[in-house]
Amino acid sequence: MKEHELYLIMSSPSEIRNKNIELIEKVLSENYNVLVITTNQPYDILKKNYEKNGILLDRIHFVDTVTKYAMGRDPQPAKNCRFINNPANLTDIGIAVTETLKNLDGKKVCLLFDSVNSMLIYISSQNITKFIHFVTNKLRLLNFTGIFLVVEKGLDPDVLVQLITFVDAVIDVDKIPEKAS
Amino acid sequence: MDNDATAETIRNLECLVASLTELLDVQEKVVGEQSERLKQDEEALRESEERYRTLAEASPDQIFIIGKDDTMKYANIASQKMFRLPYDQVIGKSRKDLFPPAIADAQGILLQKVFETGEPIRKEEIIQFGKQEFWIDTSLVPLKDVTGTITAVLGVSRDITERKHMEAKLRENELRYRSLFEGAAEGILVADIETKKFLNANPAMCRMLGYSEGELTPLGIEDIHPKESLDYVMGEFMAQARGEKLMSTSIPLLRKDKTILYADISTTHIFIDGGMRNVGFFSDITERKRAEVALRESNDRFIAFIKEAAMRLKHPLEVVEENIATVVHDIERGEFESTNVSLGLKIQIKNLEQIRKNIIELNKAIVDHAGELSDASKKFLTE
Repeated sequence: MKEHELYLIMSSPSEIRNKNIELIEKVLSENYNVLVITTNQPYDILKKNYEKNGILLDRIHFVDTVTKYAMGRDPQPAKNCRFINNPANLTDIGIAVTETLKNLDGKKVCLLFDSVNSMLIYISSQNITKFIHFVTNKLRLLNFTGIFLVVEKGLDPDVLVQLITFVDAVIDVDKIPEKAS
Repeated sequence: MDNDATAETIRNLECLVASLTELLDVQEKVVGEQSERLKQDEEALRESEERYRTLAEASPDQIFIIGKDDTMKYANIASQKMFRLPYDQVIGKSRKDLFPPAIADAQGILLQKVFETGEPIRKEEIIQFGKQEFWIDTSLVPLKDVTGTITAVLGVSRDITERKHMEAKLRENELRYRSLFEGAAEGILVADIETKKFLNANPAMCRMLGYSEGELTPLGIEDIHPKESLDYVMGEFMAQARGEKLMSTSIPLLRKDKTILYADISTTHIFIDGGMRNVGFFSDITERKRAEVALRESNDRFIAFIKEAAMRLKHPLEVVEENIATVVHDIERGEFESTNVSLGLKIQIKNLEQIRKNIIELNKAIVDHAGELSDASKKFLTE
């Protein structure tokens, strides 16, 4: 992975959870600070999964768009997590991302977006391309690295083509041979 | 003395006789010359009369002369044929006996007018002869003697029945084709191939473009098409003029109010009024084009809908399915915390709720554009 570049990572639905963990391990090993925007798994479950895999959370920040929405109330506050009331609330998500990235200015940062497809439950494809465009522009201005997780079969080809224009490279992880454990 | 007087008298008498004889000679000479000239004049007159008689007899028109006593003084062969009587039974006969009473009366009025005024008259009228009707063109001309007195009337009548029938036929055809031209639902425009100016436009064409015929006919092709399409339109016009094309489709036209309409134009080229013309038949397809555009847009919306449905329904259900499977997997392996299981399942419930809302939203989009759903169906789809 090259610094300051943006990637679209394509995976199958059954593997996307594992890919999330693998990617976190990889970027942390390259001394990135990570901002995870999650629209699918809640913070508590992600945290548990990371800890189970021996991943330290000191350099991971979260923007959780589903916990508060599912619970219907404010969850227990977490030091490194901002909770958004609704996955469709792009304004608040944008503010949370901006503020978190501002606090990481000067550091080596990688944003992980999990995932474009689960966000489609809540917003239209037109709005999601606009939002991704907003995030990628912000990352480029700040010279940060970005990874956007996508299930290829879940996206209309025209939408996928648009997203590809926002990034520097597309990686289909299902076509990469698995590492020996 | 008496002998001298007698001799003198005799000499005088002899002189007188000589003079008289000389005079008689001169007179005889003059009379002879006059007689010769008279003969020549008579001959010339005879020749002239013969010439005009031949002319009159050879004419297919009826030529006749009616005297002041209303009797026939002359009738040419054509007149005799019309009366179906030989010459000797026509000449001297009263005019009224030769024509049916109604015609004779009408003729009488005209003849009287000519006799009274001395002015020629010309008239076209229908006359019935036997069972047939004829159109006759008659000229009546007064004939005068050397004192200027009208002595007779020369009549020349021509059977113009055939011409009248042809005129009637032409009028009928003209009316028929004018009705077709005026009443056609298609616009019809006649243009000169060389100048590309319009010569005629029917009411449908005028309505189509918003001009009166008087406004449209001074215009030309360049005036009724948008500038950006002129090159193409001119090409089509000339191809049609050369007979290479019969139909040009979806041609843009510029109305008087500068709005655009579209027409299919089929053309024939004909020679009329001394020049080659393109006659264009315009069918307004604007509504059809609008319908095509609307259909295309409807298809695009439908395709966009099913794409969006696939992205926001089909795959999200896979995501929910996958997430619930993970929860089940964790429970079966005993690797769960009840709060996390509860939270995980609550998230999937929210996902399913949102997917249901997505279905309703997409259904509303269809219902808004579908015209034929019952209220009950609409309610079922959108609630």
